[in-house]
This record gives sequence, structure tokens and C-alpha cells, in this order.
Amino acid sequence: MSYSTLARRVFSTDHKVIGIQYAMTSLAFLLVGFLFMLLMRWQLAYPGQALPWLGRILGPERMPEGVMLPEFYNQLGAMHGSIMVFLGIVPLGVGAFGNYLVPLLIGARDMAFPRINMLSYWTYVAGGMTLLAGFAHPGGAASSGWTSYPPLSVVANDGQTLWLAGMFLLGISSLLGSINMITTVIQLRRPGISFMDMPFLVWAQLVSAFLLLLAFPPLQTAAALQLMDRVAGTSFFLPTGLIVAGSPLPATGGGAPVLWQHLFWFLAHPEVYVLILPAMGIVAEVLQTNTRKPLHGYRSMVYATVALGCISMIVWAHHMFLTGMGTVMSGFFQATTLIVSIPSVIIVTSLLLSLWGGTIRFTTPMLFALAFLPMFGLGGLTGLPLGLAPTDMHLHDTYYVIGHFHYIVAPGTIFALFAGIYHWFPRVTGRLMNRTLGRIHFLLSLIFMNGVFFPMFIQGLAGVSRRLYDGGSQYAHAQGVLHWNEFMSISAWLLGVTQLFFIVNLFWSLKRGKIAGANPWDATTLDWAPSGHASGRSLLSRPEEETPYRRFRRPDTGLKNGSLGIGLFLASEVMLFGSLAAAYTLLRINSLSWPTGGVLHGGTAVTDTILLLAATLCLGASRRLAPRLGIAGFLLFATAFLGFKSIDLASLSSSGLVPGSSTFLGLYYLFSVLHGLHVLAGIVFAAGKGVSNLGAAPEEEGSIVPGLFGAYWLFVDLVWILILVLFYMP
Amino acid sequence: MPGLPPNGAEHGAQIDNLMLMVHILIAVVFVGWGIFLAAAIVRGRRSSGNSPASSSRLNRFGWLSEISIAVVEITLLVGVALPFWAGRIDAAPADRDATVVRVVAEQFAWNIHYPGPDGVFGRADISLVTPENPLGLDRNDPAAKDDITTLNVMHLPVGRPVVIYLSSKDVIHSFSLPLFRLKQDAIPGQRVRLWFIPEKTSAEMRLMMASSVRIDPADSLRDLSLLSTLEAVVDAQGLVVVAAGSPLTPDVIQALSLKGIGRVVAAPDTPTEIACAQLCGLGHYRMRGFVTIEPDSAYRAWMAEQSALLAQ
Repeated sequence: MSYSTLARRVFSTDHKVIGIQYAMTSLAFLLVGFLFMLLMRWQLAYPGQALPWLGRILGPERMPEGVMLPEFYNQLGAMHGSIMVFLGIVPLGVGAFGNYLVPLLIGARDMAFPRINMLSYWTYVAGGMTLLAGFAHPGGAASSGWTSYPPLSVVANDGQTLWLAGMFLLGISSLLGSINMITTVIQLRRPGISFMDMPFLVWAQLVSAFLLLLAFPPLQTAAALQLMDRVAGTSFFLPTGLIVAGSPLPATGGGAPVLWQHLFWFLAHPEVYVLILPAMGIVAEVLQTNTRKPLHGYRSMVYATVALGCISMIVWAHHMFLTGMGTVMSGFFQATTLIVSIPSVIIVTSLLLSLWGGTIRFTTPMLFALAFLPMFGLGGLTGLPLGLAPTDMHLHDTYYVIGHFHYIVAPGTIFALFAGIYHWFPRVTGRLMNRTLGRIHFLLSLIFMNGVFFPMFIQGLAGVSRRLYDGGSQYAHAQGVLHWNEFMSISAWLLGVTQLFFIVNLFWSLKRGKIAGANPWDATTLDWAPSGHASGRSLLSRPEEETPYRRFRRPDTGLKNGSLGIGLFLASEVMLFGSLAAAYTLLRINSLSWPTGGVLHGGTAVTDTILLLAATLCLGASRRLAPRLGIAGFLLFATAFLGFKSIDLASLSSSGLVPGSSTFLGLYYLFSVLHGLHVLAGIVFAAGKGVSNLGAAPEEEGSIVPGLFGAYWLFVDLVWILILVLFYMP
Repeated sequence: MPGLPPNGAEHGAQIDNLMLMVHILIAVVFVGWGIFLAAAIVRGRRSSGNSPASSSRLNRFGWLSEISIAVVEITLLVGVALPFWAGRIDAAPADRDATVVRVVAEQFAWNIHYPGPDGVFGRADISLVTPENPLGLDRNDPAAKDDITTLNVMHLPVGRPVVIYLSSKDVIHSFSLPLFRLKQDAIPGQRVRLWFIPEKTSAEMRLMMASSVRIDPADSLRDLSLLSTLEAVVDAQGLVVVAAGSPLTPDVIQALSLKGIGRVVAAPDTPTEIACAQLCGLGHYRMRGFVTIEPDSAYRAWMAEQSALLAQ
């Protein structure tokens, strides 16, 4: 492969190529996650029955003699959930459709930060590979569920460490992606396209990006804490006095298992809306095009989506009603949960009303979009008995929960994503997908999806717990509904066969599909505006044109792309250190003994502070007074800070004060390392890119750098002050 | 509500009622959406060149349905759910008015700990934990001398409040009594107090769970041995084929089908179970306990038997 092919096809910065890369990768992951489930469904339908040929392929540590081990079942379960959510649906909805469509729909040439876009994709690939690498590891992949509740996940096999590392990478990927998406929508709208002119799909992507930006950092905090529990001997999530497998666990204790759940669900609930909002955006576009009329109630849909985004940040603990919650807490989260259902109802109602009075064309994408409405509706409605604490007491952790969220993501979101693929395939390839194969794929998928998921409500009402290796066959209360397991499994396998119609259609149509023409659906949105197909830069643009508002402020927003990007980055950093500080507070309240001073030397803190202050002053001086000297001074003092800090941490640990010694020290190490990494990033940036033009006067070209870098460095200083307050104040 | 297992707890009726109301709401909204969708599709397929419907009428229709859903939801929350949760806390019985049990979950079993006749739990210390003493109970402590511990077996008297102190030794489990509408996470490092009033005995629950079971020897995939016949099964000549209470083992199924009997009325032997609801490791699926709700006299007899065993 020549260098230019490599740059164009593999390491491309073109939003369309990246969108297609995301699409192909996430579809492959979706297939893998789905196959895992087909394997699990064998064990659920016929517990303990051997599949010798599969046993030979998968080996005795997974399926000896073809009988699945519970260890392997749990690995498949944890990985099915993680893959489907983090590697399949979100990257497809946000990475693929967002990247490909949003610039087109707002008349932009590309994303605001094309190279960061490429980095985001490759970080996602690395994260996904890290997650899957567990299967190659002797101990197997992560096996504690996609929720990874400690202490189970802390004492689990090494695959969990890979899971945590993978999550961290995926967090970075979605951070880069969301900064890019938000900046693109705010800065790169063609002049004349106001926010209220944007297609609903763009709004949905914008709100999703905000959710990813603000909700992922707490999960990264949680992943870092759990990683330390696993590898550095800390006890953030381990309470005192654990006895695992009959012997005391060698850990200091004093941690709080529930802390993980708060941090995890703070991400994972908004994540549900990241799954569903892009899907709603796709459905809105497909409905508009195929009813030949605009959406009904566009404005209320936009407001509802923004409200949904905001409220979704304060509903997380409805996943935790049974952790021993008081009246006030449970009342609050039940109320917010019902409130968040109202904007969802508004969106669904508006989509339904949009159908009325239209002239409906039953294209393949339209069929999927039409089916999305009742299927997603059922998924949403069955959230109600789970959102009310009394009924949740019976249904919590049963198959009812699985049925509920699968209706939202499978015949809901995945149907919408299929609609999107059938709809925009001609935009990407210039050819239509086969209509007959598409209709077969639709009809059979609809039947079998319901065959898989509807019986889950029946089993859940009967009280059958989820995540049971034998599907509940040991329980008397499950006996009356067990026969559904076989029905669901056969439906699942047939659903798998049905997907062959899609896969064949996808590849066949690529070469043989009917030539589509520029606008096969007679759509009225900008994504179908005439321009070069499939390759090259998009809409109305000159190839040599530079990204707008990189150097100059956009008049209506008053922002440069870079300053908005840095601002968004710092917002996510605030969430990262904010959630870390929240973890600190909870652990401190929870702990029996907290050092009142004397563990850390005040003297080192004074030296550290002086060095950091000196670096900051030099950075300030570099802007006006002494550019070259200032930068040199900054690099000197910041490096000295890092060196001094490393010596400090090394001497601490050599005197026996390791992270595992106490929760206080564990947190101190974690804060110090994270802060140190930020200092290091600052040094690398200033030394590498910065030196050449950091010292440039503000009015010169490229002078945005000191301002933005200054904001970043100010944040690094603020984190240092936070560290001083948290660890040196008595 | 259909689909729910029989309920044997005093508070369970409230949960079941709310469950029914929510599902009626779900059904009404879902069917309503479905009818609208079908009507819109029929209308849209017929009417090419159809004039768009009046937007204000659609708006009114939309708002009306959104507001009514919201009102019903709020009514259910404020009228039922919140008072229920508050009531569970306000009405919690004192220990002295209840049968008090300590439940300590571990991978993959339930340790049941009764305070014994003195009503006081003895001291437990993790340094004393051994395979024989999974709770680390200090038998030298006077209060511990009469304490009764079992594994996976819990007996409770009917009609009297039960207070359970729930905790875990290792990972998070979830203590679930599906037939008593009770579920609570067992989190290590936390001790949660939960309570309920069993109103039906396990024997009564067994009758409520009886159902007609198809006998098919070819259907070897289904393990029916958890079920046993409710009454003696007789053949055409009036001879007893299997006695009452026979588990439906493959042998029994064989015997029944030889006589041409296609269906029998059967019920679970151990209808009232403790299930683990939270993934707790590779043995999660078999972390099953048994609770027996029985008349007070039977409970006392069992307790005396346990005390006698302890004394030996």
C-alpha cells in the first residue's frame, strides 16, 4: 500500500472516511458481541448439554468436552454487554453516523479538528482490542458483568485489568470525539444556518456529545480507582474485614463498594441516552424524507432533547434502590426518573404525530424507522415499573430489566441504525441496497427480536434472576417459565441467520446494487446536496480551504475553534477531578481513621508550590516581557517540579508508605500521578509545538497558543491547590 | 396481576397492585400508540396527494396525551410509590416484636444466624473464621453459646414480623425472596436491616404454585425433579401409580407415561426460596437457599431441635 493510499484509506482525517471506518469496525464488534450471546443462549436453553465440536475449537479451559464452564459463561456475559454498548452501538451511532452526517448536514467541510478525529478513531480501536485481549489471556476476559461491581471485580481474573485499561482508552476516544462534535456544530455551521435550522439529527448528536464529554470522566475516575485496587494494593472499593474463599483478603480495607456504583452509573445512565439519541435523530430524518413533510413539533423535540440530556445526569441512582437507600434519596431518584420519562414521551409522540397526514413511502429504511417507534416505546414504558422503587423491589436484577433495556437498544436503537444504513448507503456508495433482501431482513428481524426479548418480561415478572449460568433451572419459582428459554434461544439463532440477509445485501449492493443517482429518496436536507460522491472533500468546498474560525473568532459565537475545544476539554477535566474529589469525600466520611497530619511533609509541599508558581510566572512572562527566557524558565521549573515530585513519591514508598498503606495515601498517589501527568503533558506541549511560537506576540498569527495553553496551565495550578487542600490541610 | 408468582407477604399486595396499575398504563399507552401508528400508516398509504392534517389539532392531541401520561405517572409516584417506601421505614417493627435473624452472604451460600433463646447475637470475629465456623462466631462469648447457625436453611414463623440483618463476607450479593416480594443487596461492609411479615406458610404457597404439568418422556431436556405430585396419581383402574409428593424424576415420568397419563398436578417441593439476584461469581446461579414459613409451633419445634443438636 502506497503512502498516499495509507493516508487516504487508513490514517485518513476525512470525516467521511473516518465515519465509514467507525461503521465497519462497530458493525464487526456488534457481530462479535451478538455471536457471544448466541453461544450463551445455547447454555441457557440446554444447560450442561455438550457441543463437542465447539469444545474442540474453544478449548478445555472454556468448554471442556463441549460443556460451557460458568467462568466462560460469565466472561461472555460481561463482554457481550461491554462490546454491544461501548464498542458497537455508541461508536456506530455517534462515531459513524455523527462523523459522516453532521458536517454534511450543517454545510461544513469537515470536522473542526480532523486529526483529533482520526486519533479518536484509533484510540477506540486500541480500547476495543484491549477489552478483547482478555480472551487471549490465560485467565480469560473480564467476567464481572459489564457493570463490574467491586469487590467481585477487584478479586476477579486479570481480564478485568484489561477491561479497565480498555475503558480508560475508550474514555479518551469519546472525549476527543465529543469535543470535536460540539466544536464542529457550534463553530462550523454554514453562515445562515441557525441552531433552530439544524436538522434534529444534529441536535441529537450535539446533546449526546455533551453527555459523553461530561459523563465519561467519572467512569475514568472509577476505572483508575479500581485499577489501583487491583494492581497497587489500595482498598478504595474494599471494606474492612473481607473474607474471600474462606480466608481474609490481604487488604487494608476502609473502602466503599457502593462508591463504584455511583461513579459507574453517573456515566452509564447518560450513556443510555447516548445510545438512543442518535437513533432518534436517524429516525427523524428517515421519517421526514419518507412522509414528504417536515417533523411535527421540531421545536418541542429540540427542547425535550436538551432537557433529556440535562435530567439524565441526575437519575443514576435509580439503579441502586436496593443498596440500602433512605426515603429522601429514593424519593428524589424516583421523581427524577419519572421526570426524565416526560421528554422521551414528547419525542416519541412528536415522531408519531409526524406520520399523520403524510404520504408514506414504505422504503426499507422507513420500515425500520416505523418499527422503531412502538419497539422503543415498549422499552421506554417498561422502564416505569423499574423506576418506581416498590415494583423495582420485585423486578430488580431479573430478566424484566434485560427485556426492558434490550427493547430500547435492540429493536429500538439497532433498528434505527439499520434504517440509517439502508437510508445513507446510497449516499456513501452511490448504489441502493437490494429492496427484497432488505424487506426480508426487516420482517424476520422484527419477529425474532420480539421472540427473543418479549418472554424476558414473563420470566422477569415470575422473579427469575438475571446472569444465571443455567437460566434459573435450579429455582422452583422459575419452573413455570423455564420453557421460554428454548423459545428465546431458537429465536436468537434465527435472528442470527436473518442477519445474513443484511450482510449479503451490504456486500452485494456495494458492487451490484442499483445505481442510486444523487438523491434517490428525494430528500431535502443538505446531506444529499449535489457534490462529489464517496471520496474527496464534501459539499460546496474548495479542497484547499482551511477550517474556518481556526485563527479568527466566529462573529456570532465570539469563539475560535481552539478556545472552545480547550474550554470543553477543561469542562471534562473538571468532571474528572470533581468526581475524584467526590470519591475522596465519600471515602473520607466512610473511613474509620483519617490522618490528621504528619503523614506528608509540609516542606515538600512548599517546595512543590514554589516550583509550580515559578513555572506559572515564567509562562505569564513569556507572553509580554521575555518570550524566550519565559519559555525556558517555564520548562525548567515545570521539569524541576516533576523531578522533585517523583523523588518525593519514591522516598515515600521506600519508607514503606505505599499506596496500599491507607486510603489517604492511595488517594494522594493517585492525585499526584494524575496531576503529574498533566504537568508532563504541559511540558511536552510547550517543548514540542510551543517553543517555536509560544513567545509570539498576541496579535501575531498563531498567537492563540499561549492563551489556550495559559488556560490549561491555570487549571493544572488549580488542581495543585486542590491537592494542597485535600492532603495538607488538617 | 397475572404473571407474578403467588405472594405470601403482608406488604406484597401493595407491590402487586402497583405492578398491575403500571402495567395497565403501559398497555393503554402502547395500544394507543399502536392504533395511532396503524391509522397513520393506513391513511398515509391511501392518500397520495393528501393534505397535511391541521397542525393545531395535532398539537392539542399531542399535548393531551403527553400530559395525561405525566399525570398518571405522578399520581402513581406520589399516591403509591412514595407512601409505600416511607411506610416501609415508618412501620418497621422493633426487634423485640419480631423474629430476628442475621443473614451473611458468601460465595455461594447464605449463612443464617439465630440469636438463640437469649435473643442476643454472640460476638463474631473474622479471625475465628474456619470452614466449620463460617461466621467466625466466638463460642466463648456467653451470648454466643446458644446461637444457632445454619447454611442455606431458614425457618420462620408465620404471621409475625421478621427482621433480617443482612450483610456479606466477600462480594455483593442480593438477597431475594421472590414469593415474599423482598429483595435487598447484601453489600460487604454494610449491615442493612430489612423486614417483612410472612402471611402464608410454605405449605400454603406450595398449593398456590400447583399447576398441571405435561408428562412427556421424550422431553428429556426439561428437568422436572424440583416438582412433586400434589396428590396420588391413579390409573384407569383406580390403582395408585405414584404416591402424593413424589418428585417428577425421570423414573416417575416413565412410570406415568407407561400408564398413558399425560398430565399431573404438581408443585415445587421447596416453593419458598432464597435466590441470589446479583452476579457474585461463577457459582451465582447455584446460590440458592431455602426458607420455610411454618406455624409458630412447628417453628418452635425446629428451633428446639436445633438447640438440641447444638448441645450435643
